[in-house]
Amino acid sequence: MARVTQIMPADAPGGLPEKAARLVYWLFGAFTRVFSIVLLLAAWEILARSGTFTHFQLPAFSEVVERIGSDAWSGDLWINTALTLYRALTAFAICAVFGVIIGMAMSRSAIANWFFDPIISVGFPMPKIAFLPVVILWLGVYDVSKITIIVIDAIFPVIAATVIAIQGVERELIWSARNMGANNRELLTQIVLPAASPQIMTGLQVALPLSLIVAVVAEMLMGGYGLGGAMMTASRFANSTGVFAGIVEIAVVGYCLVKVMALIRRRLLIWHQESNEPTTA
Amino acid sequence: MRFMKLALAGVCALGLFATGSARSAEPVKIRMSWVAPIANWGSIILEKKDLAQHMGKSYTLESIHYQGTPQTIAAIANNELEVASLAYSSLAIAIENAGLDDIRVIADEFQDGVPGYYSGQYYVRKDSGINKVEDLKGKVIGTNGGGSAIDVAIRAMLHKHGLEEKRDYTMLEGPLPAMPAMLLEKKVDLIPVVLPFSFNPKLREDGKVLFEQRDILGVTQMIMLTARKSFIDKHRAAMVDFMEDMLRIVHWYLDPKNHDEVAKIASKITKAPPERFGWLFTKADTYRDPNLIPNLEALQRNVEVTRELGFVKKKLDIAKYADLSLVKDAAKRLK
Amino acid sequence: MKQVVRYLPLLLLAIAWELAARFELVSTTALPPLSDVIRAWIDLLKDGDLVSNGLSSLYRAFAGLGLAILVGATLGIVMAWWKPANVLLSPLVEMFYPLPKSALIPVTVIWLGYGDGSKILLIFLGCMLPVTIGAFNGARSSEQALVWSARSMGANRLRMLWDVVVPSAMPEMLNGVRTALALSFILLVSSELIVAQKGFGYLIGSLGANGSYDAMYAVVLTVAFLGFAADRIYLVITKRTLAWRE
Repeated sequence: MARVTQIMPADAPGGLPEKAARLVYWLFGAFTRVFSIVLLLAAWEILARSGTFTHFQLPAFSEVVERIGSDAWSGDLWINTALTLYRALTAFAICAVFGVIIGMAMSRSAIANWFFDPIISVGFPMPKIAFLPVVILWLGVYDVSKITIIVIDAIFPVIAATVIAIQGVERELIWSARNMGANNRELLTQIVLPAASPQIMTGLQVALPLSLIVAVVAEMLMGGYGLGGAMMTASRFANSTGVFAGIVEIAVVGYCLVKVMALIRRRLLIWHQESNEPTTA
Repeated sequence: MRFMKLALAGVCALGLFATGSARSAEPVKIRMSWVAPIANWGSIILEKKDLAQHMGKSYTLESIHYQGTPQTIAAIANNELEVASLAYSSLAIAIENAGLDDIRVIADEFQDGVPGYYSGQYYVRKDSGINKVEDLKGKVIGTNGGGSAIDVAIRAMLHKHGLEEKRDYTMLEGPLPAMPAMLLEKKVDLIPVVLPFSFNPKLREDGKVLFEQRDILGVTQMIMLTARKSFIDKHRAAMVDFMEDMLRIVHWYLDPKNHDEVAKIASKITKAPPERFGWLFTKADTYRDPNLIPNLEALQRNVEVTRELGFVKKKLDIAKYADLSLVKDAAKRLK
Repeated sequence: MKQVVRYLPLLLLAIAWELAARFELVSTTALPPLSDVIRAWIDLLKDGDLVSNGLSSLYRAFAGLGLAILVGATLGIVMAWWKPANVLLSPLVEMFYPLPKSALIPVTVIWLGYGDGSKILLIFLGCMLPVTIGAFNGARSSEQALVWSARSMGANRLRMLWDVVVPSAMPEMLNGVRTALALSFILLVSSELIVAQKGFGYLIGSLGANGSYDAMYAVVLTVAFLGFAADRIYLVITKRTLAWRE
C-alpha cells in the first residue's frame, strides 16, 4: 500500500484537493490494512451476542475491550506487558547474537559443525518445556530461569536459518570475490554475511514470535506477573473475559513486534532486491 | 447428472436418518475426567471394568485426562464432558464464574483430614528456624496455583495468623511433584505435600511438618464427581447403572484383601514400582467413602472459606447443588 | 565408526547428564540419572504403552503438518504474488503468528471440542505460519532478472508463477517446513498435555503429575529422537529437491 500512496499524490495537482485526496487515500489504505481484522472482530461480537454460546464460552468482544480498559486504568496491563516484553526481548537478543555466531561457526569450522549439528537436530524438535522443573531448580523461579527457557527454545530457528543461509550463498559470488583477492575475513563480513542476511532475517522473524510464545507459556506455568500469568489466573477462576482479554493483549503485542521486525528487515535489507518494488528497480 | 446428485443426497439423508434413529437405542456415552493419576477414580476405574455389569449395555465409559481444573470446567461447560472431577474450590468457581448453575455434586472422590486418615501436610526445612506460622513473614511460599484446593488451605492458615499475600509473603507456583526439591534447594520456604510425595525420604529427613490441612479446614471434601442436571435428567437410568458399577469397582479397590493387585495396577499406571504403593487405600491415605457419599456439611464449610478469602463472591447453598439420589439408588440395588 | 564420531557430542551430553544427576548437582527428583530414564524407556516399550500412544500422536502430528505445508505454502506464494491477498491475509497471519497456540484452546474447543480435531487444528495453525512466512519471503525475493527474462520470453503470469517464482521460493520455504516439522512435535506434546486419552503428551502429563520423572523424560527423549529422525529424513529429501541449484 505504501507504494500506491507515493504514486498517487504525484498524479494529483497541488492545493487543497490534493491534500483531501491524499487524506482519503491514506484513510482507504489504513482501512484495507485492518479490514480483515475488523471483519473478524465484528463476526466475534455478533456471534457472542447471538446467544449461540454462553457468556463463559464466548464473551462479547466489547466486554473484553472493557476489561482491557480497566486493566489499563489500574496499571496491571502495563506492568504485565512490560515484564513479558522484557523477558521475551532479552531472550531474543541473546538468541540473535549467539544463534548467528553459532550458525556462522558451524558453517566455517568443521569442529563446530561436528559438535552442534547433532545437538541441534535432536534439540530442535524436543518439547523443551518439559525441562522447566530442572531449570527452576538450577536458576530459581524468577526472570533468569524464564529467560533461559526462552533462549533454549528460540535459538534453534536462528542457528538453522544461519547455517542454511550461508550454505545457500552462491558459489560464483564467493569465487569471484576470491579472485578479486578477498581474504577469509573480508569474504565473511563483506560477501557471505550480506548475501546470507535475508535468510538470517527470516530465522530471526521466526525466533521473535517464538520468544514471545515461550515467554507467555513459561509465565502460564510458573505464575506471577506477566501476560501469561494473568491469563492463567483468569483461567483458573473460570473468568473467560479475562482469558480472551489475555489472547487479545498477546495478539496485539505480538502484532506490533512482528510489524517492527518487518520494518527493521526492510531497513536493513534496503539494498536487497526484495525490498524494491518492481516499479523502482 | 441432476438425478445422480439427487440420488446421492437421498442416500446421505437416509444414512443420517439411520444413524440418528439408531442412536436412541445405543448406550449413553459417559465421558469422565481425571487430573491426578490414582487419586482420581477416573484414572483407574477402567482397569477393573470386568466388574462392571452395565458397561457397554446401558452406557459406555471413556476416561479422559485433563491438565487441570480450568480445562475441566471449560469441557463440562461445552458439553464435552459428562462427569467432571472437581475440587471444592473449583466447584464454587464453576458455579459463579462459568455460569454452571445446573452442576450437581453426585459422588465423593476423597476427603482430607477425616480422623484416623491422612491430611495434607505443609513442610518447612528443619534448619530454617521456622517453628510457627507467624515465622513465615517475609518468606516465599510454594503453591500449585492460586485458587486450588491446596492453595486455599495455605492462604486460610496464613490469614488466620494475620499474614497476607504480597504484604507479608510471596507466593510461588510450581508443579506438586517438584515441591520437595524446591524446598530442599531453598527456592521456597514452605511447601504443600500431597501423597505420594510425602514419602520422599530426603524430605522426611531434612524437612518437618509445620501444619496439616485439618488444623485449619477440619475435614475437607477435597474432590468430588459432578454432572449437569440436564444430563442427569435425560439419562437418569444410565447414570444409576454407572454409579452401581462404580460402587462395585470402588468396593473392590478399597477391599484390603485386593491390596497387592491394587498396587500392581497403580504401578502399571504410574510406572513406579508396586512396593511404593503400600499406603494406597489404607488409613495412611486420604479417606474415600466406600459408598461414594460426599460430606456435604464439610463441603459447605470449605466453600465458605473459599468465599471468605475472596475467590468467589456469592454465598452458596451446597444442598441445592447436590444430587445424591443417583448413588443412593445404586447402593439400594447392591443390597 | 564414522557415525560414532559424528554423534559423539550427543554421547558427551548424555554422560554430562548422567554425572550431573549422579553427583547430585541437581536434585534427582527433578532430573533422574539418564540410566534410570533408559531403564524406564525399556519398560515403557515392553508394556506397549509407548507404541500405542505414539501411533495416535504421530497421526495427529502428520495430519496437522501435512495440512500446514499444503495451505501454508499456497498462502505464502499467493500472498507474495497477488497484492489483494497480501492486504487481506497478512494482518491475520501477523496477528496469529505470535500467539501461543495453547492460548487459543478456549477458542478452538468451541468449534471442534476436545478431540483429535482441536489438536490437529492447533498443530496446523502453529506449523502453517513458519511455512507461509518462508514461502512469502522466498517468493518475494525471487530474482527480478529471472522474472523479467521470463516475461520477455512471453511467459504468462501463471506459467511464471510455476516456473520461476515457486522454484526460487523453494529454499526458504523448505527451511520454513523444517521449522514447522520441529514445531509440530512440540505443539503435539503441548496440545496433548492439556486434554487427552492417548498420545505422547498424555504420557508426559500423567507421568509428570505423579512425579515419575524417569518415565516422563523417557517419553520426552522419544519425542526428541523421532523429531531428530524426521529432521534427518527431511534433510535428505531437501538435498535431492535442491539438487538443481548446484
